[in-house]
Amino acid sequence: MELFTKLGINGALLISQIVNFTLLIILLKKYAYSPVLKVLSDRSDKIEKSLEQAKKIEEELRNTEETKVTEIKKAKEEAAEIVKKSYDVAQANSEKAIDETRKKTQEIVAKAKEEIQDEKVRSVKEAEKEIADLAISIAEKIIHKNLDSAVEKKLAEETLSKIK
Amino acid sequence: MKITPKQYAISLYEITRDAKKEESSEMIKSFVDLLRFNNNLSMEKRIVEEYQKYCRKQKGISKVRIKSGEKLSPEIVSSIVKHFAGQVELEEEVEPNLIGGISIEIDDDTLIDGSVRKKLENLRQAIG
Repeated sequence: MELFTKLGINGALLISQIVNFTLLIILLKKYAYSPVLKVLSDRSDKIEKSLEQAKKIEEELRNTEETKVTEIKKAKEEAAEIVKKSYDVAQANSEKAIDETRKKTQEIVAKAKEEIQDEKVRSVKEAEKEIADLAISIAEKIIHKNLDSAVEKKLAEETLSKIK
Repeated sequence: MKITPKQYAISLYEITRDAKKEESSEMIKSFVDLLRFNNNLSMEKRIVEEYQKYCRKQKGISKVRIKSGEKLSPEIVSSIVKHFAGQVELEEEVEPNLIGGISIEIDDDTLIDGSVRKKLENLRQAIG
C-alpha cells in the first residue's frame, strides 16, 4: 500500500475505480454491448439470408435461362418438323395436283380428238349428201333434157314388162 | 264374225247380178238395212270401191291409171292398152314431177312406178 502511496496512487480510489469500471463493464455488457451484438448478429443473418436469396434467385435465373434455351430449342425443332411436314404435304398435294391435271388434260385431248373425228365424219357425210343431191339434180336435168319419144317408149315398155 | 267390205261387195254383186231392175232396188234396200243392222254403214265407200273392182274383174275389165311426166303419145298409150288382155278402163294423168317414164296403178291395188323420179329416188337411196 505504501508503494501505491509513494507512487501517488490512492488505493481506495483505485479499488473504487476498479469496482466502478467493473460495474461499468457489467452494465455495458448487459445494456449496450449485448443489444448491439444482437443487432449486428441479426443484420449479419439478414445479409446472409439476402445473399442466399440472391444466390437462389441467381440459380433460378440460370435454371430459367436453361429452361428457356431448352424450350426455344424444342420449339425450333417442332417448328422445323412442322415445316417439314408442311413441305411433305405440299409436295404430295403438288404431285396429286399434277396427276389430276395430267389426267384432265388427257381426257380433254381424247374428247377433242373424238369431237374432231365426229366432226370429220359428219362433214364427210354432209359432203357426200351434198354431192349426191347435186349428182341427182344434175342427172335430173340431163335426163329431162334428153327425154324424147323413143326414150319414153322404152321406159314405158320397161314398166309394162314388170306387170305380171 | 266380222264381214269385210270385199265380202259385202261380192255378196251385193252376186245377189243383184241376174235380178231385174225393180228387184235390184229391193235387194239394195235390204242390203242397206243389213249394213245398218250390222252397224257397218261406215264401210259404204269401201264397199262401193270393192263392188266396182269386183264388177270389173267379173267383166274382165282392168282399171289402169297411168301417170307420166308429159302427155303420152298415142302410140305409147296404145301399147299400154294392148298389154292388158281384156277391156281397159284407162285414166291418164300428167304429173311433171315424175320427169319421164310412167307409173301404172292397176285396179286401185297394184302400183308399178317406172318413173324417172322413182329411179332417181332409188339411186339417191343407193348412194346414201
